[in-house]
Amino acid sequence: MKQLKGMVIPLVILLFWIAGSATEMINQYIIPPPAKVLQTAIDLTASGVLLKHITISLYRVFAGFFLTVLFAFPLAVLVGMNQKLEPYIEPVLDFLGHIPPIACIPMLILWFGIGETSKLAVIILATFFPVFLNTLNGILSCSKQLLEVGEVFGFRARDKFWRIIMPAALPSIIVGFRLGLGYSWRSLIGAELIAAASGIGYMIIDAEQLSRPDIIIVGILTIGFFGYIIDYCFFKLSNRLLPWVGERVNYGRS
Amino acid sequence: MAGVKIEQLSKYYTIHNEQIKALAEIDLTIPDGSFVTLVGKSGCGKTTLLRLLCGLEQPSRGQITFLDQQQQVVQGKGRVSIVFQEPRLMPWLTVEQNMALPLFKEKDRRRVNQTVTHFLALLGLKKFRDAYPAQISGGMAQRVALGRTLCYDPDVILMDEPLGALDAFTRKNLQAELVDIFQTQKKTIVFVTHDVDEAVFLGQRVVILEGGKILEDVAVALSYPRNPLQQEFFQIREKILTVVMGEKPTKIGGYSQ
Repeated sequence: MKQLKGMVIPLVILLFWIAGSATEMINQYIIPPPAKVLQTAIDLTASGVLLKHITISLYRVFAGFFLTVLFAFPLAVLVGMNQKLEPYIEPVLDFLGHIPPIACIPMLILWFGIGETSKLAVIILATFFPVFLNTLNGILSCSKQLLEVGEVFGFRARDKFWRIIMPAALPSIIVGFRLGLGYSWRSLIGAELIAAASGIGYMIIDAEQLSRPDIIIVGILTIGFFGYIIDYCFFKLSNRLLPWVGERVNYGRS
Repeated sequence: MAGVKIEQLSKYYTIHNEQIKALAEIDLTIPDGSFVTLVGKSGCGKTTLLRLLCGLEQPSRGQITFLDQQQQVVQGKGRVSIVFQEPRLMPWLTVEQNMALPLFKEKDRRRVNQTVTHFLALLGLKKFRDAYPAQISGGMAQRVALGRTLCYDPDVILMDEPLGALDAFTRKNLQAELVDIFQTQKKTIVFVTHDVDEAVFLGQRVVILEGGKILEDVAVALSYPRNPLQQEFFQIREKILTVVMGEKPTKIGGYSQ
């Protein structure tokens, strides 16, 4: 039932789109009719062009995400467990957090060219903050009361870390990963729009040069669709990893 | 098995450059296998005493020693555990896993399983074995906390108003169960409460604290299970109330809180 309710607004928009195109109230050179967009989608899929671009984009997102987690996560653990470090790190991060990764793209292109490296760098910049901050937050907000329980039962520092701090921080960590994936997906498209020779963002900007709004619409819908799928998979995964949290609890900081 | 000997125990806190004496030169001996309740108003130092006993705080002065059955000093720290006012269960562990938590060093999983199953049955928690703390009631959660402590098998069990947040019915049940557990498990129990009826119902001795000092140590020479409507019970309760309040209490007011 809930899924059906969610379909109402898209269907209404689609109906307006169909009606507007059929009565020629919408200029088809600006917004092509749905049938044409569908045909383009089929053509692009059949020729493998769409698949090629989406594969490249997805590969970049996952590679970038993985690289980020590889250093953002241990760094957050390090800072979280050595709170003396926090005063050094926090102002710097607060400042950097306000800079959108897209703003760094020109600099990254100067440094790394328009190849894969600059794309990965953008993704890393975008993913770092949600992953780092949520992991750190999860560690820092671990209940002192629970740590005392460990203390009473003779836990050593290592036991406390693995048996109390990490599980307590896990919901927050997973939220950070989920936000990070979403951020990296969005910023990647931005990077591909500005400078790339492949990827779904490139497909869109290329279509603009060719005046092919149908391809642009297919590209936009594809981005939304894959973003949605990634988030949904992650959501399902987090429910499985956090059986005690369920769907009622919402953590988050970005 | 162990008893506790407390000598000249003091704890000071400094708040806004002002020194506050939470405990001032306390002397108290708790023999092995006895049930002592500590009563007093808020801020009398009862929680501080428990936190010192289980090592969560260090004394400013004085010392705590653990004695064996022959009243000989046990070397090192005794096995002490505490049941807090809140259950403090790990939300990510099931009831069963929470109870097994203190046995994390035990390699033999079958023995762990046996111990946990034993106490699950003892505390009537078998049905809730696989539930998460968020899915059980406050009374059940406090049972799990007690079960976790029993699994740890300490010599001394400290309890910091463990029934304070529970409703009157659950409270009565758990008080009775606690007496049973004390009689069967043969542990030394130090139980903190602000409820005088509870103190008299449970303790072999009621120690009254006030301003970080022991005001009086009242023996309760009644056999278990106790009847709160009994004349002797009532007399002891009145006596303690008089000491705590510092004046003669009114006769009005029921036995239950």
